[in-house]
Amino acid sequence: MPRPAVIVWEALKHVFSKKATIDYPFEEGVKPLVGLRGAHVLYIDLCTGCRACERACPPLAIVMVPSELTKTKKRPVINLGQCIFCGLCEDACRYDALFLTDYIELSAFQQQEMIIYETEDPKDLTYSEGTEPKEEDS
Amino acid sequence: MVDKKKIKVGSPQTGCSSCMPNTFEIPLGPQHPALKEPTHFLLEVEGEIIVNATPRIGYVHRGIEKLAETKTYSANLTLVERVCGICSHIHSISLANAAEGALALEGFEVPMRAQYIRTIVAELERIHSHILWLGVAAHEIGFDTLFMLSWRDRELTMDLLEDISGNRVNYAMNEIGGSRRDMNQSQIDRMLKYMDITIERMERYKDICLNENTIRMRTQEVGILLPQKARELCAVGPTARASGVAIDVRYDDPYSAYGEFRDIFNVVTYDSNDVFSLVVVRIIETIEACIYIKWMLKNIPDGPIFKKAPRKVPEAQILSRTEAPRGELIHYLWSNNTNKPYRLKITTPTLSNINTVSEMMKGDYLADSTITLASIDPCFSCEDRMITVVNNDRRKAKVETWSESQLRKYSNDWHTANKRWKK
Repeated sequence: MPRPAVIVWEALKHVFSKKATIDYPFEEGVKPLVGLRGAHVLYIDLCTGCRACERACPPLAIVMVPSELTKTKKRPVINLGQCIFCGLCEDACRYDALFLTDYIELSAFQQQEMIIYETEDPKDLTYSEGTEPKEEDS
Repeated sequence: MVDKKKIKVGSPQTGCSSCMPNTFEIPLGPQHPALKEPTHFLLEVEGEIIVNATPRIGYVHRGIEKLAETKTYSANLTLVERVCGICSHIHSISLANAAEGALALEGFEVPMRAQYIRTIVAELERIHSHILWLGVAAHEIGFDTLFMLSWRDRELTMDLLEDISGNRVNYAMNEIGGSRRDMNQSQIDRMLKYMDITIERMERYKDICLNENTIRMRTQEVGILLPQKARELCAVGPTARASGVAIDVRYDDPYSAYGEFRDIFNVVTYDSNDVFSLVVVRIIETIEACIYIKWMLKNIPDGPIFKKAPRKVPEAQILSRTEAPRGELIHYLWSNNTNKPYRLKITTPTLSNINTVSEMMKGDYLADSTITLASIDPCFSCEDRMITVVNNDRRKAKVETWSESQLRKYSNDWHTANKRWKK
């Protein structure tokens, strides 16, 4: 049977309650302070090119390319389009050179833009703004 | 109005269109607005009443079992999570249990705190899966207010999962030998607070479902599955429990930390055997899951969360059973003393439940077929496997049973006829 009192009470309660949604592109989205798994940051100074991250990566998103900057003359290139953000590369890295940050707005117009640290330009290899890591997180 | 029971009892001719000239065949799927994933049901209708339904699977086979043979165990844990989008963590628990079961032959043990963390995440996943199902079911019967309200409350659980694991869907929390992330006190406090809110909201939905006509009129006496039939068709999980069959792997064969609170565990059953019963069972299970999480958070032991496991898993054949939100999940692992599995076979709950749908649809109206199909919480890409349809016209298919001597004669004849088949 219909319960009019209940219906009216529910309607009144929801008129004065807080909005449950967020106006996302114009407002900041809610995300946890620590521990989010987003885009990678690579410290090329600490990296030795040991290939631990490449071997740990389940979807083979990390590929080693020749480089002059590391000890073994190899450095990782990460394809964020293939990455599943499991964080196994972060766990595998013994030198804390590679870790995940809370930068999660990763959409791009071209597939090529999803591949990060592809060129050996020192500007690209240091972190850009927005992906800056906090010391206490790592 | 046609008497439903008369048709439900049925005559032996149902399913044979040549015997019943008044029936029509209506395909449901592979592409259909009510289906989120492709599958096919061939419905035979007499007027508005469904007299027979034949399922056909095999549209989204992805070959994950074969791919798992090429990857290491820790990479496989993230791979099997991708079997299902909703019940992802339980797959990785199941494979981890199987591998750790093989390692236990050499005396390997997983720390208890890791088992608790795994179980907490698995129960959180059950909460968000059941609330998601409640929303989908409400949407199927046209009650979109409940759909939106329940999905709003699901966000609480999703936020908790994001807070614990860093991801919203595929958590990647497990590792062979333990858990990859620990929980701190602030997370535990937040979880206790959110569980109280979830219990309060679910009590409200229980009240809505039990008292409002909107749900009762669409779900009562729809999709009836009698306990006898549920046992015959090997129904698992909430589908079986809604028919009064009290089976639950968490209680019958405890894994992870479920053995610790077996005395407060309730196997939720309901006896009206219809879709309404499924709604009630899932809502009560959600409340129960909140209570288990609260118990576990209060009794979680201290200690390490991870113990380094050897890379190579000794040779063994392990069958690992777990209770996914949809029912019993089976992982069969054959290891061969390497760091990769030799064989992995996965049986998901929907594969066990798919035959019950055609039983539930019989005798119902055509308009109720979507809620009946949604009521088992189907997940077709999980259960899909490669099949070969030998005879395209299934109504004229000839079924024969061969004895062993006949099979041997057939194989001998085949080998004589094709002597150089290897080349």
